[in-house]
Amino acid sequence: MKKSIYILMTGILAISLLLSGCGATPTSNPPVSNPPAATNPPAATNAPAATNPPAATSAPAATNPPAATNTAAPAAASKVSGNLSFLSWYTQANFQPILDAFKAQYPDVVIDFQNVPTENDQYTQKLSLLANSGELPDVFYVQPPVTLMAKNNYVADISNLDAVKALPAGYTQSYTYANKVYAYAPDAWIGGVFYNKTLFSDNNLTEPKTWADFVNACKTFAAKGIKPISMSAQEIDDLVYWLHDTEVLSTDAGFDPKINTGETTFTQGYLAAFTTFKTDMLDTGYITKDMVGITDDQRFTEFATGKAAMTISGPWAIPTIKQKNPNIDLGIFPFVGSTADKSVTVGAVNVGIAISANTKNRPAAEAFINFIGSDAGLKLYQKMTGNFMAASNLDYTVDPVMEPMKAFAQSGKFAFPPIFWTYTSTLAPMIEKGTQEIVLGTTTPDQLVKDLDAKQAELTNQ
Amino acid sequence: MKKYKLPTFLLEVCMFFVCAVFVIPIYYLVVSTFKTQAQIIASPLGLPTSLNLDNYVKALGTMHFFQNFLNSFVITSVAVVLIVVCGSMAAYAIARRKNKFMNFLGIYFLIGFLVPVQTTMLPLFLVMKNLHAINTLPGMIFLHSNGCVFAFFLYRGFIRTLPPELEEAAFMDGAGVFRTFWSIVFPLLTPVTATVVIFNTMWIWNDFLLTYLFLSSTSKATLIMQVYNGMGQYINDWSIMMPVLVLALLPMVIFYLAMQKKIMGGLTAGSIKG
Amino acid sequence: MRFIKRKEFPYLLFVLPALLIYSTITIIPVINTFVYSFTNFDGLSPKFNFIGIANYLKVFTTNNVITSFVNSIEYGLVSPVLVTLLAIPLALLLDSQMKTRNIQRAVFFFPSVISALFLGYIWNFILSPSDYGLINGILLALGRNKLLLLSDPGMAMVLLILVNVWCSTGWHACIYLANIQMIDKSYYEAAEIDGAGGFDRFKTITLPNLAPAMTVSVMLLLTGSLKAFDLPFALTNGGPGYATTMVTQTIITEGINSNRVGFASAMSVLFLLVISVVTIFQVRSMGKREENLS
Repeated sequence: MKKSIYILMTGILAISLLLSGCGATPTSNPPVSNPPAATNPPAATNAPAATNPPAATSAPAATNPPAATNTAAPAAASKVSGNLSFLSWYTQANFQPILDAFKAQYPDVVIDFQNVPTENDQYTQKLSLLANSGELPDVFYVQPPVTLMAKNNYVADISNLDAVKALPAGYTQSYTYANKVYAYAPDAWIGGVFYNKTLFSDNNLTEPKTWADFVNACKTFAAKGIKPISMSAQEIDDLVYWLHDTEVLSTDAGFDPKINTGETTFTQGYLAAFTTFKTDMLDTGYITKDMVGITDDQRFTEFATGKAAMTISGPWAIPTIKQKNPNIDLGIFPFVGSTADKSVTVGAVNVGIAISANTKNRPAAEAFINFIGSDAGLKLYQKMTGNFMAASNLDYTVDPVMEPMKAFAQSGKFAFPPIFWTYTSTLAPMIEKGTQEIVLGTTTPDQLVKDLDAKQAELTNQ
Repeated sequence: MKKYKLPTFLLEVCMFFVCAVFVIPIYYLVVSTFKTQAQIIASPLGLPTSLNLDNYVKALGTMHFFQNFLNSFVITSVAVVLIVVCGSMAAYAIARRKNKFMNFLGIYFLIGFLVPVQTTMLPLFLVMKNLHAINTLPGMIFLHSNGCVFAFFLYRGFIRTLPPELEEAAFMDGAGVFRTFWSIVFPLLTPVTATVVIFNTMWIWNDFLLTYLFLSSTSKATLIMQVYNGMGQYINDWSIMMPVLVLALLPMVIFYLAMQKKIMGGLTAGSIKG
Repeated sequence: MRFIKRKEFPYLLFVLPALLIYSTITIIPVINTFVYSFTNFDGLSPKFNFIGIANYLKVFTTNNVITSFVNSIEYGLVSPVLVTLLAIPLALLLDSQMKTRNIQRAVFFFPSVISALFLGYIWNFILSPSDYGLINGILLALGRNKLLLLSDPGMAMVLLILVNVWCSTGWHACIYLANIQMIDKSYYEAAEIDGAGGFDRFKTITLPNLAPAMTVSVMLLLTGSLKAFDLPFALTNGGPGYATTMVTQTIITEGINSNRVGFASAMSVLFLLVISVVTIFQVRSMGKREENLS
């Protein structure tokens, strides 16, 4: 009896195994590599995220406008057809105008539009799962940096696409690996510190030009019982990045990519930022303990209704704030540093569109990217994202509130350090939670940077 | 028949207050759908000044409501049927045949209760990929039909309480096991079936994790997924999200209200006895 | 095969569909996870190596992983106790002669109809530490100071458990209610004649008869709370800091998001062990209790 049970169970399990494709053994499913694989250097060591060191700053510099943007005459339109699966960062409702225009130009392409809610890393999770199981759609968004996806041969080399060639170096930097470009992002999100102009003028304050001005403004508001700055649990670390950007990146723009190779460490770059954050913002009581439990929406409510004078965000927040309080007089200023010339603002190249290395419809995928890179495409794309564009000769408008930031967009003086770290998906949350813990008092700046360096070492050596 | 005495009345009044407080979260949700953002901030719990259906109209416009409803409906109904069939049949075999193999299976199935979905996400993804079931409706149905394990549990407990005489009589008349089960035993299982159907319908309809992981195309999305498109970290349009939430929940609420009596009936019939 | 006689075969077929589905969806992935836990599989690269028990050692030395285990166990053990303590009296109340009892039953059962993710969002507003949270708004209107609520690490866990209790009590009360209604009324009448008071009747008649239902209900609560993901995630996203982060969330953030599937698999295996041990212990001891009381 016993023996038959074993035989029977083995039989059942065998059937299940068959159904599940022998998943029990730890052999891999190597993705079919396209010819370019041979030219990628062996992935034995961790290659630096960017092999093109930024020229002047660590941000896209639109100072060399491309000669002519891509006016993409659809010469080969008739050859482009078939199904194209597209995993989008943006919802279908938002993307529809671009889809419609693309369809008009390439009527034979049927797009299978896919979408994942992007709250709390779901997009990243799903992309990882799809990549690992070889189920990546033809075209999909990736977040910077593209190192790990490129290293594992999941994305195709798009360096030679017209749209990509038209981009200035800064916009392709985070999407470059081993001298090849793997994702296309024609825009950059740029934000800053929104402030309530009425509250500022009522208190005889002018727009801060230095960190000291900012702290002074905080002091004035706090004395009046107004929250100087409203923050959500996940955004408290913005202040730390602020200090890092203005003090470290202004002298060494290429600092953060060097963390990947071990040339620099978190302790060297961030200890001062965390410490200043603690002394100037936390110990003074401008950052309060309630912030570690506040959601994004709630902090906008505080700001919109005048309970708080400032909040850090970007153009996507303007409709939300205006909906909460249509009468608010909104201004924005960049991250100000110890001296007036050190101003930098928060921003980074936007999520980029990549082509799967195993796509079965390369022509359509390339046509899609080139289409977005065309004048008409870029206009529609900008309308959707509301961001600043790389192409300087493109005629578009951003929300009037964001006008002061245009100069920063064009000069490239913006940064968002996490996009440069290879292991950003582990390190950025550590900083987010670590900052929360500093506010709660359960860890210190010294301890946090030590932990970060330890984690970086651990991930590099595994 | 107990009389309706004063203490009971006082108790009733107390319970009224308890229920009122208990219901506040739901009340807040519904009431906010009729207000603008500014109004929500000004008076979150106040009654809306007007039954402003603008938000609902706007929401219906942005959702592929009917497509998603259909997807949810198909996935839920087929999966529930599978769950009932597979669960009841397995329970019957294991409850009636007390040999070592069946006993082993009884324990084997219980492992399912102990496993959180998160621990097996990636391997499950690979399994589904090998079945070519990712981003397909049949694949989702297959995944959800794993709920047959819980159904098995409920059915087994109940079948144990059924006297075997009826079945024995049928066997002696020459009926096969299959026939006996479907014509005699299954009808007796109605209370449990009602419970299984109701709970699984609610769980599958409201499912988020499996759906966002395994379904990507917007054309295949379920109703619940639409809600999350309005709930991003950077976009918090309450005036859309709330009506979408209510619209997504409405079928479930109606279903629940209609089935309420059956739920109580199913539970009363001793379906959960362990 | 000796025992596959004609008689046994149909029963085998009865079990087969459920067996195949379950083995494919649950058992095979669990075996895979077990195998991965001994490798350095990162979830992206197709190549990986066996590294022995290094992952398991890492579990015991990574602070936030240990914290999440503690959190899960705390949440998973306290919730069932509270729910059971509230659900049984509630069931008694719902069994009374009150005119509105059907509405009451519907009201308490209602939270189970709604997805935990939505409930988390709604409760987040109620318990928000900002001035605009419901509770704080009321406190401020009454002239008092606002509370930290979800921003306070200790309070956040307490509030999370309370919200879980709010969500689950009605469902389990209905289970108990169904079982109470099945108890033969004559027992109560006999006891009343004998002079037993209300509480005595409860203790000697109701409670023992509820023993089987208690075993099942507590088991469901235990496994459900230990495995919880939706509610903690939606209510606090694991915050503040790591105060309400559960193992299920850590597995995702440390595994899939961080490209360390091997490590997450080790966590999964250990967590499975914890759940199994706790559950087996609970079912055994309450099963014995059932026997003793019947």
